[in-house]
Amino acid sequence: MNSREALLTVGVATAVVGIAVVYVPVATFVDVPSSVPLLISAVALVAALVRGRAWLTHESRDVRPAERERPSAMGVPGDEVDVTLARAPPVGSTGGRGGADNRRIQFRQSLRDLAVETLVTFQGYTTEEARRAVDRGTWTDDPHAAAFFTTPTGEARSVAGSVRGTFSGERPFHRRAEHAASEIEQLGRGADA
Amino acid sequence: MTTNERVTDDEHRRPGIADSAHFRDPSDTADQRDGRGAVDADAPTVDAGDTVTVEEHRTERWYGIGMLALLGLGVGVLTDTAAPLLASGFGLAFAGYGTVTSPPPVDLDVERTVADPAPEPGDHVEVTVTVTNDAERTVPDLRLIDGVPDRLGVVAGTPRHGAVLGPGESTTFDYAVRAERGAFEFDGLTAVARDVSGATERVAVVGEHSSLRCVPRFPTDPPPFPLRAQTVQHTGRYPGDAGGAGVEFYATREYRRGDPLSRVDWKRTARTGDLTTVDFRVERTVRVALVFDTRRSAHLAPSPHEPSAVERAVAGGTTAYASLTRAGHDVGVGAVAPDECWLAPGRGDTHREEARHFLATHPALSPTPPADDTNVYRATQRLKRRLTAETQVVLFSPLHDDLLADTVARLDAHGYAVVVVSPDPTATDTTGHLVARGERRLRIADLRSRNIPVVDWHPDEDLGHALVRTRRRWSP
Repeated sequence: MNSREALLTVGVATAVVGIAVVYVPVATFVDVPSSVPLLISAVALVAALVRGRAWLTHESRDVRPAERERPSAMGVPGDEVDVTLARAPPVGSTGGRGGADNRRIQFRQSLRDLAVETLVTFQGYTTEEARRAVDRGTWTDDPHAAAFFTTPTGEARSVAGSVRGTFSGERPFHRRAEHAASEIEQLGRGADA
Repeated sequence: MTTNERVTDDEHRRPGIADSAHFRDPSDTADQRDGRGAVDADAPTVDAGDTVTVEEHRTERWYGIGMLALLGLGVGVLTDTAAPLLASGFGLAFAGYGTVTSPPPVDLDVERTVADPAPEPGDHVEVTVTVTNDAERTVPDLRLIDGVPDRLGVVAGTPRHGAVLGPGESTTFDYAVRAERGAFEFDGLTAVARDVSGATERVAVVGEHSSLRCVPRFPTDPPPFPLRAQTVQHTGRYPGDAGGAGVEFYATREYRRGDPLSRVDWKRTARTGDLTTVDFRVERTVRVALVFDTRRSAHLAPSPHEPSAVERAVAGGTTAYASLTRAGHDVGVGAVAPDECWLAPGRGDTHREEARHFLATHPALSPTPPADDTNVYRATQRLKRRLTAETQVVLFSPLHDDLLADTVARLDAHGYAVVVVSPDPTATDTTGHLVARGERRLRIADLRSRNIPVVDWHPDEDLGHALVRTRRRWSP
């Protein structure tokens, strides 16, 4: 018998004796102080609380068998960009605002470089013309794509926009980034036709 | 930072958007790529017939009952009420049972039968698994998951099975996998055994070795594969840019002493009285190295379960080998991979058979991404030591990062004639995918601006079509 089993045996025996003492008149040969039931009750309730907390906080340890039915998944180029973008909080959210702004600014700068290089390579712009077009928003007819590069962080600066973002979870930065990336992709189409 | 460190794959790349360090989190990509769970991720290698317990633990699924039982006990004693006190007795009994039990032993004998261990690509191969309980105790809840190789998809049945197995009893299940190019080893079978209440479980891996080896045949009618203009003087079948002996008319010129009489244009001599020699287009044998970018990061696809760029590249390389050797060239195989991969250029039946198996089963060309990063500098140096000056390089790469594009440019600058075949792994579903596609296009444009031919091979077209489309813009 291991310690776990011994402890359980003692517990069960104590419970049986306890129940007998309380409910069977014949067994009332011991004068039980009134504080004992109170103590037992308190211990049981505390143990229940501890157990309940453990129950609520523990993660299921049931083994989840590995998926074997499908071939292991391949990555898609650009997945890592999407993961990082998904982590950027919506406009107006609190917490880590400075870091989020930095990430957005870096991303916007990288996308701007890509737009400029694409205009130069596929549309015949000079580098200077391309930079000017991107900064002025004249490189595309898509207002969302154009707006992505015409504000310092690529997102709405109006109070209304920030409020809307806070309450609706709307992500103008992400929407504009998607439009800009789509426009850049279209500029390069036909290069391999 | 050493030179070698500077060019290690996946660690040091020129920061494009998709590449830039602040947008990369390797764990994210790894999580997304690993469609399979964690149980077998750290599974040990188990010899056939052996059983190794990976894990033994309590499932803690009776925690809630235990809490309610203790609550009932406390309330019952406190209020001097019998009902909750008695009810708590049942809960405590369940929880107590879970506490004292231990998971049943796992001593299984596994026999796996692969119906066709050498199938053709696309064949459905039936796998039958029989499991026998060799222990002296009944396993009341046994869950089995067979170790299907990572790159094989199950197309019929399921590799999972559940059973109650008494001592000496057996159970059988079967399923079918779709054969893909490559040599595959089945992993051990994973068994999860639980006691009656499910409070405890034991996870074990039972070793049983089975393999499947799928070696595609070369296409019988491969499309012509274009090479770059050749300057090396080995007579063969590649139409060169000089006159001499051959079959295709190239030019006429004044007779020079030593010219073979068979090449004198006698009709012209009779008409004009001048001796004229006919030059034919000289045909030359070219040595070609098919080099595959099989770095871990090159295992990309437009969607997670489509064939990867590496898989398409090797399929394209198989076609290229058939086409080029049919044209009379010597063809070899290499890879930009963590480990050495080289088959010296050659032709003929023996080399053809060797190349077929090499392309299908060499570990560096495996459809499964390698565990290690590739030091591109070292891999390129290794490759350059194998290449003679006149060897043309046909490089298969998705061009998903600047590292390989820069390497191609450097090889070209060092005088190697390079042709790039690039299976396109990009998609347009998300912002990140669009960005990656835009960056790849710029890499291709940059290489083309250096007069390096690039075949941009779209996922929905065959290689022959991509070659024709590319040749419209490129004259070798």
